[in-house]
Amino acid sequence: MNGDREMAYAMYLAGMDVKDVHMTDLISGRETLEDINMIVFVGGFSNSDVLGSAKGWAGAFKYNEKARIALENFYKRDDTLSLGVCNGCQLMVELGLVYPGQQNSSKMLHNDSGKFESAFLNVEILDNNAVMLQDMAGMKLGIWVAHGEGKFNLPLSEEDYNIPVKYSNDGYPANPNGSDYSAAAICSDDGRHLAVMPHLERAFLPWQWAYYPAGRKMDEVAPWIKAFVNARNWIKNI
Amino acid sequence: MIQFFKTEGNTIIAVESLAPLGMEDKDKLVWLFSNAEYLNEKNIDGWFTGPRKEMVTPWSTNAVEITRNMGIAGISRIEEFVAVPDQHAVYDHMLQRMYKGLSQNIFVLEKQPDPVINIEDIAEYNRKEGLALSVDEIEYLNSVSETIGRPLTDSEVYGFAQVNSEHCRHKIFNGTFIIDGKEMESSLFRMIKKTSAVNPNKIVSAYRDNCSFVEGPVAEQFAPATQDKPDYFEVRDIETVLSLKAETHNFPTTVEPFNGASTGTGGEIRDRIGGGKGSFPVAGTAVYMTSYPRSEPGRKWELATKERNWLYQTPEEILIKASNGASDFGNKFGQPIITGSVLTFEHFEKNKKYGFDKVIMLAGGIGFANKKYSLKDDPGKGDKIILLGGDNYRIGMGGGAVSSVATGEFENSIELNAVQRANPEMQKRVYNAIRALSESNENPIISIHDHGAGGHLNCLSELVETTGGKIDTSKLPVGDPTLSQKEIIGNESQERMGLVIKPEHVELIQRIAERERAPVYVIGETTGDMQFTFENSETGEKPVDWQLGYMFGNPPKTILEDCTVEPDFDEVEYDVADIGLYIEQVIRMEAVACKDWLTNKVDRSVTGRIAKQQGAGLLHLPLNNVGVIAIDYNGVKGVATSLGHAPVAGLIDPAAGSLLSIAEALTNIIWAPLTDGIRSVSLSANWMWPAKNRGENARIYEAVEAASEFACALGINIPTGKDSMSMTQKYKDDVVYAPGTVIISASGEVSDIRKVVEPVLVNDKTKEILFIDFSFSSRALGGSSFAQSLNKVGKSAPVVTDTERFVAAFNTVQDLIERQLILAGHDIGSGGLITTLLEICFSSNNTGMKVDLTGIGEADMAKVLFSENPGIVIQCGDNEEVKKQLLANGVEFVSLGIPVDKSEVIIKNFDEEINLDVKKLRDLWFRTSYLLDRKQSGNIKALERFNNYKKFEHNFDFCGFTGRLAIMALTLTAGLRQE
Repeated sequence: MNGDREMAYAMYLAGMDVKDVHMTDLISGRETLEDINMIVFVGGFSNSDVLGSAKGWAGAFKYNEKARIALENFYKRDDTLSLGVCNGCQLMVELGLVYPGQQNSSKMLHNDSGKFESAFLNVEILDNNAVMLQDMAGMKLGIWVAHGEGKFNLPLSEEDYNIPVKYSNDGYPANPNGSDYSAAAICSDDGRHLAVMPHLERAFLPWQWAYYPAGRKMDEVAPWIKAFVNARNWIKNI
Repeated sequence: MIQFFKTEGNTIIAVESLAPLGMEDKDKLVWLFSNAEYLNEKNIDGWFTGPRKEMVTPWSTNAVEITRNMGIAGISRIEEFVAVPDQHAVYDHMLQRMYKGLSQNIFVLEKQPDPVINIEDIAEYNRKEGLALSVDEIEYLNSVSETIGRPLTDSEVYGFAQVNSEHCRHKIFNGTFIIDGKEMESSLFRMIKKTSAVNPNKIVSAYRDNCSFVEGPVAEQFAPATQDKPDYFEVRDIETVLSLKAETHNFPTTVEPFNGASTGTGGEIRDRIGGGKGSFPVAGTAVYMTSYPRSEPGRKWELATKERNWLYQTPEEILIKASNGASDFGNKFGQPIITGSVLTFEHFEKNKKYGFDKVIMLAGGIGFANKKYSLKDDPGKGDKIILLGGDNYRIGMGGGAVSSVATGEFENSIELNAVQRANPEMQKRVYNAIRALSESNENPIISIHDHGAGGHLNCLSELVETTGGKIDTSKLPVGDPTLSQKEIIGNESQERMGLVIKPEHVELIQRIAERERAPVYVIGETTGDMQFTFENSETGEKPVDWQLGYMFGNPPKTILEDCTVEPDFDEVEYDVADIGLYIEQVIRMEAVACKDWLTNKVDRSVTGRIAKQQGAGLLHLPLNNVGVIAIDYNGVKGVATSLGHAPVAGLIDPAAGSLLSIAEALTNIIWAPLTDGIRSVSLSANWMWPAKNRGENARIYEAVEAASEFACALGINIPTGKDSMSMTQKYKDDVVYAPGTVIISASGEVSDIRKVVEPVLVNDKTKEILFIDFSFSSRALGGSSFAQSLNKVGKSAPVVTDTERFVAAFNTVQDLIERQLILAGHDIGSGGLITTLLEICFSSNNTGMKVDLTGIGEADMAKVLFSENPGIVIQCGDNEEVKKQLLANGVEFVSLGIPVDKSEVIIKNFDEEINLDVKKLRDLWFRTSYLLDRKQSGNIKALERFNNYKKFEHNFDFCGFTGRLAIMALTLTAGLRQE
């Protein structure tokens, strides 16, 4: 896992108290997530993506009693949010955390190119129900992608999913992985659980963007910080 | 026993376990292998390709660990096999073998560990094992044996060979040079060290540690309060030092490019981790130099030299696989590559053949450390020696020694044994554990070293160099039960670090390492008697037991005699009427052409600290001159890094090669505002040379001397570097020499990461384009990409004749950047001024320029367009103010012209005028990238990318976002991670 620090900082900057939790903490029972309001599955690789991205990570949840129960209890609560980015997105899909009960409604596949894709590209935020992104609808933003298995395989019709973020163009490499419906993210029906492939946590400051609008380079923060601020405000208002 | 599963993709996964798997475990595996079918069979018929038995793959290591995390006990190995039609199927002989049927014996090695051997005839052993010991060294070892009154063991001789190999000891760099009968005043190393003596600037640590450190800014450290349990992040200001390191991995990359480059990258990262008492690598760089890839027919410059019967892989395969390997390691470890370079070259003339048949693969990088942990302490007596990282396998036995001789000299099997494999996941865990210690307020690390060439023998001997130490080999983790003691302590399995700590800190490190899933072992202790011992406490075997002094030896000083050989290359011949054609050729050469094939597969954003990477402009094309990282998330200070090299010019004049390399690195890093201007810059110089060939020792002496003098005069230092002195490739009846090469990696503290200038022209007709020369000498075509495109090296290479004016120009431009008076800028490098002018128009669809080059004063159109004399092109933010500042500082410039609204570059020089179609040339420039991309993305996707790269301009809508951040109160959240 290697996207932990930038994620933690984006959350910290948005006003959250951020706790560093390792899988081993959940497996051992050192951490139960009981006093936690938002869980973020961070990006990067886990187990070098051996046997499929996030497969090993998902296995650790499925087959370790304490970790499984901590997670189940977390998702049973209605005062919680979750976010998975990149490898974390793959984990949420693998564990069915976005659309629980709907087996095989979504899958993450290898990029069409069969290789890792690295790009700074354009996405659009659509009208959506996601707690983190709702008031960002209409924005067209730059964002980083860095993944080998980022293709959303969404076999049902588009209305069956909540797709808050799309790649701005469907042609490769603007849609870097061949995702159905150009989807860059999917969200649970209640808007609380968001799984997104691009790295918003590497684009919350202007200088992190490979291209930022001329004349705005002295902005303190870039628009993606809103997503984290929204999460923080939602938790505060529980 | 072995149990087989058949996957949905029709591969066979073989699972080795102590006992038969239970029902529940089988079900778990079926899930893990994505609905694979359990095959209730002992043997599977048919032909299969799969990993060589003796090489447990990193894939297996990760898969086994996943099963452990899923609560399945007893699995020792998992490998995947692919069914093939017959034994003639194609497979990678380096890593795989053909299996006729899969049986219970597929992982069984019919081998008992070899005992510790007493070596009676060291000379014979040296020859048999390919240890590359010299006659003097053998004599020395014989005398040691006599002194201690017993024959030396195989491990001792082997260890000595590793520690004292050219690779580790730099005999040539420390040797005495006698050139044309005259003994030279300094060793090469002394000349390099002189730069730091003359210009200490902000150096904290040079030459003695795994990487160099210079003083950096105060940074806000953002880390969990404690790291042996879940805890909240907190911020703390720390004083920093900035790290710089570059390493090459040429021999392994030539033999097995993917693993060679990935372990090269991993090894270099470990060097930056192992600086001081643990430091933080942030971003990497990569350079590849090979012979011509011949990606498609009809590339004229590739026709003059006859393709060789390549010993291992073709240059094109090496380019693809090596860059895949370097990218893969960084992607999985979490280190981006933010700048890089490629050169392809071959030249045969007068019965001498030059080419990068032995390839260059350089991995470099920058990072930082807490200043209070920037220097190691000396271990005392009774301190604990800790090992973090993976198991021992029979990997890379002899890497250090073998890489010190010309490739092709040994039998292939020995060379293959020297190949290593990478497990970035393991390294990440080890790093996380070290990071946790180095971020803490009381870092318990006394000293730390990485494992590289020579394995435990080398790393641990360095670790206890000042005290001696005793290591219990039964405590070392062994992944392959057939390893002898020598193999256990000498193998080059990667991803390991050795630490020395006080006994009272062992428990803390164990807690942290276990939480991070980093394997941790207490393997010995320091002794204070300078004796260095490896002993197996269970069997009593003692593979090594001697004074450290014997191991580091007093080998006689190397003396290098040579005579000067005057270069004699034909002059470059051309017809200016063909300028248009020349441009189309030059722009397609790998060194000049688009590097999208490299950047589209490597993470350039991980860490969230990347302020500048390769991609620039509306089309995100790889154009940037410099890579920049932020030192923290809340400030604007950072570190810049850039590269420079000029080996072909160096063939004509080795001194010019050094100057041009340094100048290129500087005209690349200039675009980041540096805290102290040019004085902020520190360099790594990595020398790759076909030394010990007639004329080459004289050439490297001249090259190093020139680099040293140039750096001294510029006010900068070279606190780190490395050398690789056997850059020849031997064929049955032929030899190809790599041109003597220095790769310069520059780094420096950035005062404001938001102000870095990009090579992207702003389409504003009122903003002038200026040319600023940094060479102060006439335009020369020798060693240029243009000359190369015509299969010539040439007779005269560009030089830099005035260091004072160079410094003045550098610092004045820096000042203009600091004041945000420069809108766009690009250096003149490979491909010359014409490439610079075209490239700054590339990253948007409707930008061009109208320029008049007459003011440069070179009437020869070819020379003005293609010469690679150091210089830059800038676009003014405020024409008058920029010019005023330049004039005030005595910096000469030529106003070239202004942007135009269409995709055209119109160039006038004296009476000639040419009109270039930017989009057409951009497609040619991208085409080379496309050709290579086919080999990694497949024909279809590569073509789609080629057709589409110019179609998707960034188009943002911030919907009224203010860009400001209101202060908010805190709420509770958790960031969850898994390694």
